Amino acid sequence: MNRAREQILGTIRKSLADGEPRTARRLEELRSRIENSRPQVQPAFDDDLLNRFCQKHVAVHGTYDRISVDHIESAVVKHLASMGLDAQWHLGSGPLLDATQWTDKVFVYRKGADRDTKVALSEAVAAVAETGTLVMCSGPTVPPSQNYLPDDHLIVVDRRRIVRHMEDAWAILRESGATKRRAINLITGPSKTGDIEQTIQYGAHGPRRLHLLIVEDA
Amino acid sequence: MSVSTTSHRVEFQDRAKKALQDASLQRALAKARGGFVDHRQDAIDALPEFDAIRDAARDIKNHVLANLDGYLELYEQQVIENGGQVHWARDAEEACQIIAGICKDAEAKTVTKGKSMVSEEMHLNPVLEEAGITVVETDLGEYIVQLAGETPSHIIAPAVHKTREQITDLFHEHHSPLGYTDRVTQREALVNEARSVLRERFVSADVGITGANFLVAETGANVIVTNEGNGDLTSCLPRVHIVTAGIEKIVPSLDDLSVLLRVLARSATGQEFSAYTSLYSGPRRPGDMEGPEAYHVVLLDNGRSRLLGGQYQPMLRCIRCGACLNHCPVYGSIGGHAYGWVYSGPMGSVLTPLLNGFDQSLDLPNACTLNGRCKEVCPVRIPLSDLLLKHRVEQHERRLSPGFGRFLLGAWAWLACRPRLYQGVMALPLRVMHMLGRRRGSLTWLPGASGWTGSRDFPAPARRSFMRQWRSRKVRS
Repeated sequence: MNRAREQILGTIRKSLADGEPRTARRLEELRSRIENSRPQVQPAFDDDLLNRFCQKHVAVHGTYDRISVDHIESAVVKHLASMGLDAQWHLGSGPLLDATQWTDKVFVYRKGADRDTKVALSEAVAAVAETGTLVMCSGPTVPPSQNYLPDDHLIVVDRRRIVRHMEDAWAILRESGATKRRAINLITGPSKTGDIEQTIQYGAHGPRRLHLLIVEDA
Repeated sequence: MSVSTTSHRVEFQDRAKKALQDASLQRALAKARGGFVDHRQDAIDALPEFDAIRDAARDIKNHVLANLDGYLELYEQQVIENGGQVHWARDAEEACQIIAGICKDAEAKTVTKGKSMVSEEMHLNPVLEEAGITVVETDLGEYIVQLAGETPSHIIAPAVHKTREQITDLFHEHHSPLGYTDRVTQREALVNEARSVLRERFVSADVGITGANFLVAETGANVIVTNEGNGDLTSCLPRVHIVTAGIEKIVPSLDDLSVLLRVLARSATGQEFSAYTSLYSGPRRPGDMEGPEAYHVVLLDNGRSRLLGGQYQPMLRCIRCGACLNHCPVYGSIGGHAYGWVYSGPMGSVLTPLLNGFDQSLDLPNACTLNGRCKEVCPVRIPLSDLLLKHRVEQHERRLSPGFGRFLLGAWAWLACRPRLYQGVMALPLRVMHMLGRRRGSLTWLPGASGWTGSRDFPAPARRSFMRQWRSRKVRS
């Protein structure tokens, strides 16, 4: 196996130049290019990030409510009731969700989703106004299966965590060390497929519906 | 691959002919044709920076290719740091053996797969099936194609050649034994039935195999871009996650990744961003309540490293968006299967001979009208039509093109280098053609070129050649 590695790297070196391995200095240069990497060309748009984010989210078939931090539970219950669903869900984790005191009117499961999970409630690490994208990071209390197995996925978004471009979200992840997590999931709208006659159908394998609770006063 | 030159030629022409006569295929292709092109155009019209981003995407890819050995080492270090393993495979067979070995060690009975063109390139499924493993494709298009016992006909829309009626029949045949006895015909019901059948597969699989749109050297993550979420269920649920990727898939940093993501979805489906873009690195971390226990990356060379530094190096920039397929009139007429391998359309016609051998795919570079739309729409600015021309030149120089054609070209070149003789020899046929076509201004048939005139008229030449007219005018003035 190591022979394969040496042979492939050897052919690359021979094809590119003199067949010599990269010197330590050259590797250091590449590493420093990565460490000093900067955003390049980015799409320009006007300043109202919340508005842009909501508009992009709706454009990909998402729905949302703008709520106050004290009303997370009631907003979830109300949304589920409007769809005829019980007040129970698989619960993720995040600063806002962790600070919420759940009443005994609801039932939360603090575990990964399974094949029959109807609803999951998660919190986004960041949200990107550019594309209406939610940024999710796995962790001990954040199982990524909650992003993909439920029929209905509800995500709490702290308004202050809406950033302009994708690169701004990377900066947040780098700062908190979250780029070293097992899974970073960017979610833009519910699951869909165009594989039958190139016509969009929602709810292919992942959530059929994606609903956001944007907390305005955290 | 021991197909002889001639048999491959016949095969391609046969397949192309059959494709043109296949009414279902033509219906499916007609349905797909406009959508991809229009959606892409809308997405690009909405992004004034598109061309600048394309330039940046091209430059990132060029920079990576020029330093590929270094970036592969940096990427490998990160994967290991995350607790994963990197395997290097020189060719398809070696890659299949590595993957089969991992599955065997994991005592895998069922493997789910996210869409991976590289795994199609290495013909992985038959190898795993031979080892007694059940392999389930989970991308809806790939699943349909697998049920039909076929291969994908498009790199991003694998079942683009299937009509809804055909999918209905396939599902009815394969799902009835599972208890889905109703024959469903509506799109929504078909998607729901597949969701339900595949859900069982996801939760019971031992190993998940996905491809990678990109490999990020900064974090050691593989990136998958999907809309269905099947790639994520394949990455998250099984005990073992295996990633297959070509060695050219590296991007240096997350910021570089952003540039490429901005052109990928727009070029592929006309979306601004796909529903799911995910970065997976290593196995589950200590304390995580779920996620695979082991994470393997299989890096496939299969001829790629040889292309570096040569005239075909730009082809390694390809991000597999499928825009060149969607804009190619030849692909639009015959579909992907006629090309005979996993990669079709313009990118396939360039890549297949490079990876499989020049003598294996002689017709592909010639199945092109040189209209240049592929080159125009490529998000990383690969000069596809120029590369196809280079293939033709190389075929000629290596004496791989048909002998009679080379003889005619040689004879013409000999003649054209002798202007007096050339004009003398050409005078008579020109005059005859002029006479025959005088009334209509064109000829509907030419001896020896009935293939050409079969679908269009040949403009009748003037009575006297340009050179003769020029000379007589000069004398007059």
